[in-house]
Parts: sequence; structure tokens; C-alpha cells
Amino acid sequence: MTKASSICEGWGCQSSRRWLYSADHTPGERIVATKHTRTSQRDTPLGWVIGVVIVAIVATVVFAMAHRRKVERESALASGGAPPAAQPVPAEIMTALTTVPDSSWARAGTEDATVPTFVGDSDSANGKPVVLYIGAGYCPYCAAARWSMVAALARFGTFTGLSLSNSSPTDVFPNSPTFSFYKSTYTSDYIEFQPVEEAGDTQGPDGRYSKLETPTPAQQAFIEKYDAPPYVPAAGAGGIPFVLVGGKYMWSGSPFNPGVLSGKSQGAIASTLASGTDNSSQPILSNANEMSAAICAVDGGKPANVCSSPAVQQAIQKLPTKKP
Amino acid sequence: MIERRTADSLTAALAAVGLLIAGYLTALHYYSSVPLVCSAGSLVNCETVLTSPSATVAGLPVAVWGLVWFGVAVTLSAIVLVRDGVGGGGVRTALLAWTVAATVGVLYLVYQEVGVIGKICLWCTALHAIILAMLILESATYSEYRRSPAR
Repeated sequence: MTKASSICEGWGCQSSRRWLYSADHTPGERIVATKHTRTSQRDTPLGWVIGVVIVAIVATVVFAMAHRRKVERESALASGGAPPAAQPVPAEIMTALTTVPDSSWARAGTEDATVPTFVGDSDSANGKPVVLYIGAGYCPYCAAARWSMVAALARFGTFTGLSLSNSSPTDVFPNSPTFSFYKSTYTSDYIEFQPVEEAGDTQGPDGRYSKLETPTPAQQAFIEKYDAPPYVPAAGAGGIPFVLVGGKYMWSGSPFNPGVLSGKSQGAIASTLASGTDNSSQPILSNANEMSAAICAVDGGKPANVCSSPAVQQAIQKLPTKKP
Repeated sequence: MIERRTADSLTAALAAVGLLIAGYLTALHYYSSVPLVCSAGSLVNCETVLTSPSATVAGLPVAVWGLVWFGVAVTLSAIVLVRDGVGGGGVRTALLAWTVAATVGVLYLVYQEVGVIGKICLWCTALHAIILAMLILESATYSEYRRSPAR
């Protein structure tokens, strides 16, 4: 008589410690089964756990890779290898950007502002100081810089044709919401704005970003001269964004951490500018105050309502006066 | 087959290592002075993963959730180690359930890395491997513990 039985419940089966009777036993004879019996090995759920885990991981990776390939294929098909059509900035966002209340400017102050580097050159066109911007659509640091630039420049003039944009989905701070200066125009009585978007924000089927604009030789000369040591660390030479105000004040790199833009839409960020207290609006406005101060320092302090505002006056005090 | 006591010790050690890594990733998130030790290639790129929207769940960085998870796991696995055979069954069950829940989280995060972000974070992968290793060890010791007459 063989009387090997097993009890399976819950997480596993229990049988190895039961008395087993051999086929040729004599009554009363008993054989103790050890935990190394075949029955015990079969009952352990460990093999199942390992198997399920491996299958789940492999299935997840395969499913994820298929999903990613599908998204990339659809994206490439949608663009046809060319940059997608620019989406104009909705009126409510432009309004929010251009009507920041004085109280928000004052509250933002300059606490979170990156002070520019004094390079002491001069750059003007049509009798007005030039604000030069060099950037690219894919660049998340340019995405951050554009927010402060648009907010600051809107105090000195009028934008038309700005479009919505997001930084690269595959770079650091992916999909940072922003705008594009590409094909936009800016008119001002005080300054000349020269934006250069060197590349777009979407990769073509070959993985490269579409080339958009090239700096003029004069702009390139400024880049080579001031986006280089001793004005920037050697490792950051030639980096974007590069902003030069009147040839005198220069920013190279992100004015603030693009991470504060993460996961938000342009509309959501713009709607917080009125209060100026959000973790994204605070650095945007604070750096816009500093950029406004640099502009005021090179355009003769015009317009007075901007250049004499407390926050801009405070920012002017922080402007450096010596080359590094 | 690995001894239960050894497996429990390994589980606790893995949880402790995971706690350290999660602590490092949390510090990385909150302190810009902490250097990120990770390659920045086209496939392996910790910075891209850690700064992506997927790196935040319910308003908190995934690293913080990891820190909490490993903190609890270290506590439970230490109790299991100390109380082995003397009424630690409930804690052992809780630890296994805790790890099963984390395994579901691992699958979600692997999907986010591969399918959404398109980059792999090696530190995150190390944490995923630790959780899976803990699951296997705990499953082995759990069934063996339940069979044990000493409990």
C-alpha cells in the first residue's frame, strides 16, 4: 500500500513530512520521508515564482518595445520626415505672458535669477541694442530660457507668430513645454531681437533634428568670442542657449532648472504667472526681471515704467560691471 | 537548496543595499550638489530617466517611494531574521506580500523606461533586480517555513 498524500493550499503544498508506507511494508513499519523526496521538490512554488517573474519581465519588455516602435513609426509617418506644422500660441497664453501684474513682478524679485556675465562689448542694429538668442527646439535648457525671454521681451515690444514647442522627448528634461521663436516676429521701439533657432524639436526618421536657422557671420563671431572661456567653463563652450544683450551681458546655459516645467502644459504654466508664486512662475519671472534689467541697462532705461519698477531696479543692482 | 537562515540573511542584506541606492537617488533628486554616477548614452541614461515625468508618481519622486519601500522591507526582513521560527510567520507573510506589490511596481517602471522614455537607468535596474531577487528568496523560504515543523 502506498499512502503518499499531499495537501496543497495557500502558497504551496505540504507533504514531505508525512509518513509514507512502502508498497512492501509490514504493518507497523514506517519510513520517514525527507525533505529531499521528489514529492517535496515538485510541491515547492519557487519554480513557479521564478517562471512567472521571468515571463512577466520578458512580456513587459516586449510589449514596451512594441509600443515604443509603434509610437515612433506613427510619429515619423505623421511628420513625413519633416517638422510638424507649428501650432500658434493660443491668445489666452499670449495674454497671460504679456499682462503679468506688477505685483507678480515685484513678488518674483530676483531671488531665483541667474545673473548674466559681463562681456562689455556692444551690438546694435537700426540704432537699437540687439538682444541675440541662439538656441534649438530640442534643447530643454533653451525651453526654460524662452519662458523668461518671452516674459521679459513682452515688456519692451510685441511678439507675433510665436508657436508652441516642446523640447526633445528623448533628451534630459524630456518634453519641456515652451515656445519657438522660429518664424516669429518681434517689434519694439527700444531693442532689436535676433532669435536663431538652429534646429527643430522633432527627430526625423534618421534620428536627426531638422536644421532650421544658421547664425550670421556677425552672430557667429559673438558666439565664438563670448560662449567660450573665460566667459564660460571650457566644458560649456559653444553651449546653448546663448543670450547676449546689447553685446554687453551674456547668459550661456539654462537660467533655471527646466525640471520645474516638467509635466505641465504651456497653458498651465502661463496661468500661474499672474500669481507668480508657483514653482515654475517664480524662476520664470525672476529671471525675466534680470533680463529686463540687462535690457534697461543698454537701452537707456526705456520704457520708464518697466525700468523703474522695484524688481528691475533691484536686478540692475545685481548686474556685474567687470569681465570675468 | 539554500538554507532558510542564509536566504533570510541575504534578503535583509539585499533590502539594506536597496535602501542605500534609493537613498542616493532621493538625495540626487533634492540636492544638486550630489553627483550622478551613471553613463549618459543613447540607451543607458540615468539623468533622462530620473528627470522624466515618469519619475514622479502621485506627486513624489519614485526614488522617495523606493526609499519608503526599502525602509519597510529592511524592517520586516530584520524581524523575520530575528524571530525566525518563533512566531515570525505573520511578518514573513507581510514581507512576501510587500515584495509582490513591489514586483508589480517594477513591471510598471520597466514599461515606463523601455516603452515611454526609451532609456534605461542602471541604478533603477539595480533596484528592480534586488526586488526580484528578494521575491525569489522570500518565496523559497516562505514555502519551506510553512512546511517546517518547528514553527
